[in-house]
Amino acid sequence: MAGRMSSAKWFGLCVALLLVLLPLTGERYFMFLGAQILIWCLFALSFNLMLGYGGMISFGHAAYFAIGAYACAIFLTTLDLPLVVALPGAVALTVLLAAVIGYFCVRLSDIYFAMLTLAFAQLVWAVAFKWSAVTGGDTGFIGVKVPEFLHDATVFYYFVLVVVCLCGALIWTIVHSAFGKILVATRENRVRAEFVGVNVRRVQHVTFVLAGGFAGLAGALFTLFNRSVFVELAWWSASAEVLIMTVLGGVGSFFGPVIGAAALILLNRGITEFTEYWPAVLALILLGVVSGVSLSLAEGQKHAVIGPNGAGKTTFFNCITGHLRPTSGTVSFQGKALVGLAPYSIVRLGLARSFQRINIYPRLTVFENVQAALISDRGLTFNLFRSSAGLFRDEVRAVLATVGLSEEEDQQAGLMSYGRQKQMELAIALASEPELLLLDEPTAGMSPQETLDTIALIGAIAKRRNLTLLFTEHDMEVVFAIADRISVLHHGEIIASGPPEAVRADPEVRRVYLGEAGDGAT
Amino acid sequence: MLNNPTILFVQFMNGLSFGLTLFIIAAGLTLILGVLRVLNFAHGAFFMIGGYVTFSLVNWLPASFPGAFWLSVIGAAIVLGAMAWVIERTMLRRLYDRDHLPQLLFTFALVLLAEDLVKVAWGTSVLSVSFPPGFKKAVDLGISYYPSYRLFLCVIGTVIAVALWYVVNRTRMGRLVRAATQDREMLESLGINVGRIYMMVFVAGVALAGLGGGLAAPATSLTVGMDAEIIVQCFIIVIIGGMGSLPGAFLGALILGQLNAFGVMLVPAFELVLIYLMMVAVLMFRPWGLLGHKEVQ
Repeated sequence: MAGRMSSAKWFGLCVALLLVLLPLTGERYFMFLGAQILIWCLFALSFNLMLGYGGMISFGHAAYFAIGAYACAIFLTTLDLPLVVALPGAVALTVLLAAVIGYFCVRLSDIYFAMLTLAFAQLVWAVAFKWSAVTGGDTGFIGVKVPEFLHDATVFYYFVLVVVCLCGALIWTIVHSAFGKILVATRENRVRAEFVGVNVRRVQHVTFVLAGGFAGLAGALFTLFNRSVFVELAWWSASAEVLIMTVLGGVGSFFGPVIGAAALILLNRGITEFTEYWPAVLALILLGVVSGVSLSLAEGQKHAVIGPNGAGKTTFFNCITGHLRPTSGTVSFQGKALVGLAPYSIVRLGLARSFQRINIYPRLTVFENVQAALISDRGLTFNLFRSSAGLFRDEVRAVLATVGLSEEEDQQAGLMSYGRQKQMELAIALASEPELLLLDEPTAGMSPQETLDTIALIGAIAKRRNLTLLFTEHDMEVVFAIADRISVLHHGEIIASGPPEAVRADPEVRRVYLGEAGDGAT
Repeated sequence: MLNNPTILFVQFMNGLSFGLTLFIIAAGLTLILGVLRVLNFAHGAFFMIGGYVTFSLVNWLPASFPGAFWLSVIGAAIVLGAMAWVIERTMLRRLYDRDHLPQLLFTFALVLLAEDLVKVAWGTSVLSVSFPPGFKKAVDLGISYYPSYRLFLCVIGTVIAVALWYVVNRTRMGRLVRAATQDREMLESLGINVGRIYMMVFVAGVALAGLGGGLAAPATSLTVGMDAEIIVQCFIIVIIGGMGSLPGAFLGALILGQLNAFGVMLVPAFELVLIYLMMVAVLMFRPWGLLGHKEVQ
């Protein structure tokens, strides 16, 4: 190993050593405590895949823990299956159910998503509660047949340690893969991600299933640990608990949830020795976190569409790019109908767009902003294993050089000037190498100098890449400087279309757009 | 069972009184959700404390005191309102501009605190409040006799629904509240003190939960964990009706009440499953609720 190790690495090494050497104490209590902490670490890690990386607040994550736990208990005891079948079987069942439930949940966002996850979790609870014949209902599933070799505390501890570490490594790989980058991008800016060709719903669905699967495995391990399963595991307060653990540790970092889970369990053990009012202590910790500590986590033609405010320029754009659905009429690109397609599929046909208002991932660096577009364009969105570090470095740099942002690649995008952010938006749009580039007021809000630079830049790029440009613009100077052809929209209808000189001369255009008194024509 | 009109009637009335009692609590939840945009998981805890405060006041007032029970219920609503005022002024108001996560953690913290508060102040044994004088017997409704207090719950639930509807739709204050649900920024730029509206809505919402706790106390028994179930039922009502919609909450409460009453009778093993399925179905096909409006983004 080269160089000195950072203090974080030293700390990690110490923890790892402690975990491996823990059974040497010979204390069963420590080993059980260690196993319990490890199980909850895995549970919190799985939850953070959704919350921290995907920005999806689930109120029902405990349901998957409970499903895994019940499935493991039933497979081992009721069906008398060996562990090598029961454990993967429990995970498989959880994954299956998470896939079905997640399919519906990811159709909603924000509070509705949270509520639907809660509803499904309560449904799982109700089924477990009422289906006494299978789950033991109110009294719980008692007397799980745990395989002989796991009866020894040391063996059991190492078993849990190995499984949790393997899963932890797998989750680490996933969040640092191409998929992980895209997932963060969807969290930061859903719309922007769609417009670099990401199928956001599918990304969220995959995340939901992964998180469910890992939670199921944690639940199955819990069954082996506890040798009984109780229906409270699926109740909403269990979901709240994992949320609290994850947030306390910090959703922004990979190991935050691990620390949160460990700290909470240890604290619980420590405090309940002195007082029975553990909930109140936890509440005070939460209030402290909420009030003080920041939760921040951690073919060649240039066609301009012009028109007065409210003429429907942006609406027109949104219809083309699938953001809105036209009430009538068709939109086609290279002979393929676009109406009814989702933004991400339209983008994959070779369209890209920028937005009138800045639409970027403000907390990612400039490099990552562009990289996300490339990952999506090259079809690596669902690659869970390929590390994203340095992925497409040369391509990203080339795009950044085109828009003149080479120097800024490590800057946090949201902190740059407005003009720079606009340039970066252009870079994001260009990253997918579109054939048709739609620009919604590319110079809106820019200083005069930035406007001039941008005009020059767009003109140069279009020429070099042989791009077709369709853009809306307020600023007539920009329009006449770039466009080969101009269409004028008024009240949602095209009132004139043609080369700049012809449009400039059109009396109707002069009347409605340039504000001149017409010659009486209506 | 199904061809016995007496049983059907009694079940219907049970559902009605259960639903309308829940409405009183859920109305506060939906108001807070609609105006403050805060998902208040502590609402069930406020309901629970309302019940316990009523219990204490009833026992503190001399038994011969006229209207002791009613005064206690009103007292509980006032105590809870005052509590809400303190919570809002000292802590909650700082969280309005933050995202959902800190708000959630905050309401979780309140749930945990309430649990321990009840344990310290009232202990863990099950407590009960007796029916107020004059409501101890059953009345003859023609088809069947029915406990008069449960009948009273139906009436008071409806009265509160009408009163809330009047306040929200017919008064200046109500108009401001409705405006605040739709566009906070606009209201602020018109010179309205939106912070005060938020405070009043939170106080009123929590007072409603306290009132509901007091009114429900004679019809149920007071235990430490009673809040966890109530909050889920209130969420179901709010979801079915539409987040932020008072008429929606009323409809949701009626539906939940009947689903509960007849679910127990017809599919006793799976009435809980039925209720959650309803919640799932509404969220899947009409996430903004039966009487809510689709949000325009």
